Amino acid sequence: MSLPTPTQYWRAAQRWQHHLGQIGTVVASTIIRVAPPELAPQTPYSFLIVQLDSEKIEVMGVDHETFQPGDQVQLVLRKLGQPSDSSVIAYGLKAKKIGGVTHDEN
Amino acid sequence: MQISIIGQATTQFGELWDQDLYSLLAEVVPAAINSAELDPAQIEAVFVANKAGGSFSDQRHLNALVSQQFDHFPPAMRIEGACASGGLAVLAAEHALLAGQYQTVLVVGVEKMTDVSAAETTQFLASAANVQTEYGSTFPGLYALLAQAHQAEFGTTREMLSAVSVKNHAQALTNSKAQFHKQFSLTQVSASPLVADPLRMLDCSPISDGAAAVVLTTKQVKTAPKIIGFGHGQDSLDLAGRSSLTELKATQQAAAKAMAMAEVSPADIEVAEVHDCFTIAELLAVADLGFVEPDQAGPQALARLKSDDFSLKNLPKINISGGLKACGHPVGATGVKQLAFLAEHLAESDTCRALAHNVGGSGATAVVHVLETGGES
Repeated sequence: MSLPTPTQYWRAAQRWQHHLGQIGTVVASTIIRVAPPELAPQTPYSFLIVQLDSEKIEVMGVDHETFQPGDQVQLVLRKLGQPSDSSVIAYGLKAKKIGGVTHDEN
Repeated sequence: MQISIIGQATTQFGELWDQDLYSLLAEVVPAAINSAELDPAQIEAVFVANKAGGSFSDQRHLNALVSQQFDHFPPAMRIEGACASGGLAVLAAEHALLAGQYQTVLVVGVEKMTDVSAAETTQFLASAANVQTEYGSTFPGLYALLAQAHQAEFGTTREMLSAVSVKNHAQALTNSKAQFHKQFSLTQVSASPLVADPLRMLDCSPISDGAAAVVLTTKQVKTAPKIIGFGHGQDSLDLAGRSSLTELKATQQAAAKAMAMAEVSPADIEVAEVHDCFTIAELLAVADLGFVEPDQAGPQALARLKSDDFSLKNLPKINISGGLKACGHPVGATGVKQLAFLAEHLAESDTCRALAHNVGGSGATAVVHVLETGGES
């Protein structure tokens, strides 16, 4: 799960074009608190299954945002990890909340 | 033609600082062959289960590594299917035996995981997910999503998850090979640190070193435990590709095939070693294997704590070895260890029928075996 090389990054971009900007609904979400080295600086982060129009997709949530099943999200481009001096700054698809279900505070 | 388990061996499971991949293999291979009372030259082929020796130990080509332990260099192959590597290696051996290619073979599973950091281990294990479409996931994270869905659909509680961990740690107390010999309370499990919500540290199986081996034969033998059924199921590697998050269809398929071949029903199983890599995985397994209805998986886990030996009427005992949770989970060895443990248990107890359930990844691969106590074949 290492951060992508430039060629891997280019290939991944072909997939992003299909999903970028799509709006969907959170099916399930967790908060990952222990992660591999490349992602450790971003912990804790959300990881979600999102229902889009015709398929489901698994993505990280933006920053430290938390999600609930039923939340409306949009797929956006965000940094995937900590950039270094010797690698490209890796971006990838993440989910950003654009509307939430009403949760009973009690 | 029937397959008998005529020899088995398991190393200690745990953080084995004095052992490496090579010494684990050097210990378990002759031990299994001695247990079978065979000359090593009688082993016609070897099937090696290993998930990530290339990552953990910088050692690939494990089939040749094991074959060279024999003077006659038997044909050997390595099988990899994430945490189901062991079950798949046994399946490959069974196919070769039933095809008549060999009569007596060795299956060995091994993993040396503790020579790298926990973060690196997390990375290597995460490679069993779809690294392209599940980027950012971890194994606890994927099972946490399954747990969230189970809680939402069946009202599964924190205590029900914790009950699995409490039971399996208690049962490991009598297994000398187990990684942990420490009892925990529901409160301790429920208060352990979060890893991926709602799963906590004591919901997770450990990082382990270990090896296990079985010797299988189609020759007629008396008294040795028999493999009377086996099945293999597959589902989407990605959780997003699954039709349900509250069942593992691969397990259901594997169980149906194994039980049909064995001509048994779930009610005939007395003891089961199920793949409890996380506590939620055991709750999924007991339902997918047909022992309970899905909404009863959590309640039966709690109910077992009220019994001295964690048994429930009309249900099999589950994970008396301590399971992956407390016996340990050296991933390539686990599926082989389940059979080795059950073969020994069948030979030494009054249990007549047992089941082994081995899962790869977040449930994309499953292998189920049904074993029966020995009789002349």
